[in-house]
Amino acid sequence: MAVSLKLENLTKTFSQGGREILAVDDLSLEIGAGEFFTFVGPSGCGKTTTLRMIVGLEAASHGHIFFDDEDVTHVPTQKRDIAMVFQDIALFPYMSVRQNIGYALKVAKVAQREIDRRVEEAADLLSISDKLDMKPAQLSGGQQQRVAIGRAIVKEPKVLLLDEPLSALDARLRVEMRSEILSLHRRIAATIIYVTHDQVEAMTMSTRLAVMEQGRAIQVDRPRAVFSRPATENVATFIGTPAMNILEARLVAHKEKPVLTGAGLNLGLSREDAATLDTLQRVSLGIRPQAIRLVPAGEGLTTGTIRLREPLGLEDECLIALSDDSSVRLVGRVPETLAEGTSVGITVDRGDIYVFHPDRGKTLLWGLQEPRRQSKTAAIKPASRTKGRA
Amino acid sequence: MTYDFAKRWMRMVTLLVGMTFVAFPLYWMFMTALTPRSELFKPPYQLLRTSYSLQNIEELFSATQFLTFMTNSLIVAFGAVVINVIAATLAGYALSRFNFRFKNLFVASTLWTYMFPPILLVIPLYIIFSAIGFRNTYTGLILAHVSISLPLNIWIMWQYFQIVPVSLEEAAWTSGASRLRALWEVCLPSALPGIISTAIFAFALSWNDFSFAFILQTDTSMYTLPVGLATFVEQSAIHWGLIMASSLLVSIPTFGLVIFLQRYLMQGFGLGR
Repeated sequence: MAVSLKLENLTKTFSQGGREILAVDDLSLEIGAGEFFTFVGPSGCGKTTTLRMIVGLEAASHGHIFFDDEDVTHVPTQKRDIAMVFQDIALFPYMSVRQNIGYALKVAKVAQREIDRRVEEAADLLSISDKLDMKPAQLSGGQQQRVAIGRAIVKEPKVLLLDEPLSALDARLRVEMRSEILSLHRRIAATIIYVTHDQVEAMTMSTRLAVMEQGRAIQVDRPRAVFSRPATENVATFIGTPAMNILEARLVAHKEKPVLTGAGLNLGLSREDAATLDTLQRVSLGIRPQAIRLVPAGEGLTTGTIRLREPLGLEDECLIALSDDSSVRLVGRVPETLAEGTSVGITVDRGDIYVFHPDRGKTLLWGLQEPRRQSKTAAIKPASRTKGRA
Repeated sequence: MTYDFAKRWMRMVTLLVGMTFVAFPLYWMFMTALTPRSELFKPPYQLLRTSYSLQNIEELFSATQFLTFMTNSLIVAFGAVVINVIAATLAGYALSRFNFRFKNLFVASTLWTYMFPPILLVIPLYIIFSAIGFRNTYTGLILAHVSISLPLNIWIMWQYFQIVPVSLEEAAWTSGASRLRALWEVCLPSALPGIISTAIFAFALSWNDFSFAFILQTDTSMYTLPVGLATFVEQSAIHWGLIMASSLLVSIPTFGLVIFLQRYLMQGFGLGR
C-alpha cells in the first residue's frame, strides 16, 4: 500500500521581480515506505515548496521524484495517488462534511453506497460521526481539521502529505491533534510526509526528519539523533526548547596544554579534541539548558548570577549571567532558596559540551573528552567524539 | 442625550429629503400611468388621485408594438447576460490563476475601452455591422452591449477569484478532480456573488441601453423598449400616459431583479475596498 519516495537532485527556482530565487537547492533524500517523515525548518527554508513538488502543485525546475521506482516528476497531481491536508484547512465551504470527506471518492466514481460506508468509517475513526451533515463553518477549528484529515485519508492514498496542519489551532488542541495524527499513522498504511516549523511537532511525531535551511536539508536523521548529534550550530539551536546556549570561546595554550577559555569557563582539552579543532583560534560552545547543573558558588566550572527565574512547574527556567556579559539559560529543579540575584556555581558534564565552527557553524565535537590520557574511562560519551561530516 | 436625539433626527430629515428626490419621479410615473388620458391634463393637478384606470396599459398592448419591443429587449438582455457570465467568469479565472505575458496590459486595456462613451463606438460599429450583416439582428445588438459591459465584468470576476483561496482548488486537484471540474464544483460556488453581480450589471446595461439600439436597429420590429418608448413622442403629440405606462412595465423586472439579488449586488460592489 504505502510507497517509498526518492527525491533526486530536486531543485526549484522562482523568478521574482526579474531575480532568480532558489527555493529548493539540489535536494536528494529517500523516504521509506510507511515512514512518518517530517520536513522542519524556519519559514522560507523550502520545506513547503518541497512538499508541493511531491504533490505536483509545483513543477520541479530540475531533478526527479520517484514513488517506489516510478518517476512521477511529470505526472499531474490528479494521477499521483496522494492526498494532502492544507495549512489553511481548505474545506469546501458549500459542501457538507459528508460531501467534503466523500469528494475524492465521488470524483473517482465510486458507488454512492460505498462512498457512504467509507465516509462513515473515516468519520468514526476521527470521531466526527455526529457532524456529517453540518457545513464546515459550523465546526470548531479542531473539528474542521479532522474533516480535512478525513477528506485526505478516505481514498486510502499511497502518500499522505500534511502542510503545517496544526498551525491554525490553539496550543491545547495542537497537542491533542498531535497524538491523534500519530495514532492515525499507526492505523492507516500510508507514508506520511509532514511539514512544520515547529520543532516540537517534528521531534515528537516523526520516524525521521529533515532539518531544512535555505533550500537544503542540513541534516536527515531520527529525532533523537538530530537532538544529540546535531550537524550544525543552527540545527542544535533550532531543535530543543529552550534553545541551546551558545558561548564564545578562545583556544589558548596554558602551560603548554590546549585550553578552551571564555565566559568564565576554562576547559582543558584532550590531545584528540585539540587535534580536531586544529588551527582554529575561536570556537562556539553549545550547552543545552537541561545539561547545566547548579552547585554552590565557587564550585563547578564557573560562577554566575541568577538574573531571572521562570517557574515551569516542576522545574524552573533560569537566566544566569556569567562573568563576561554572556549568559546561559538553565532548565532544572532549582532550590527555592535561590532567589534572583543569588550567585551560584554552574557545572556541566564535559560530554554535554558541543563545539561548533565559529564561522561555518559545523559541529566539530559532540562532547569533550577528559584531557588526561586515561580518557576512555572518564569520558562520558566516548562514542560522540568523531569528527563532523566534512 | 439631546445631542444624540438631534443627530438622529437630522439624519432622518436628510434621508427623507434625499428619498423624496429619488422616489417622487417614480411615484409620478406610477400615478400618471394609471390615470386615463382624459383626466391627465385637466387642472387642478393633484398630488394624490382617487380614481385609477388601466386604460393606458390596455392601449399599450392593443395600439402599440409594446410586446414586440419587450420581447426584443428580453432576448437581447438575456443574450448579453449569458455571454457576459461565461466570458467574464472564464477570463476572470484565467487572470487570477495564470501568469502570462502582457497580462497587466490586457487588464488595463479592457478598462480603457470601458471609458469610451457608447456613442463614440456606435458609429464605427454601425459601419462594421452594416458590412457584415449584423445590423437589425439580435446578435449584433447583443455583441454591442457585451462590448460595453464585459470589460468591467471581467474586472469584477478577476477581483472575485482572487479572494477565492487557491488551496480550495488544490484540495480538489489532490482529490483527483480535473482543473475544469474543480473550477465548476469548488471555485464557482464561492464566486457566485460575483457572477450574480456581473449578470445584474450586464442585464441593467442592456435593458437600459438607448444609443446602440437606436442606431443599430433601424427596423421598428427590432426596436428594444427604450427606443420603442421614444416613438411615443411624436411631433404632434407626446403620449405621456403611454410613456408612463410602458415605463412602469419596463421597470418592474428590473425592480424585481434588484430587490431579489440585492444582497449579492452589494457584496460585489463592496469588493476591492
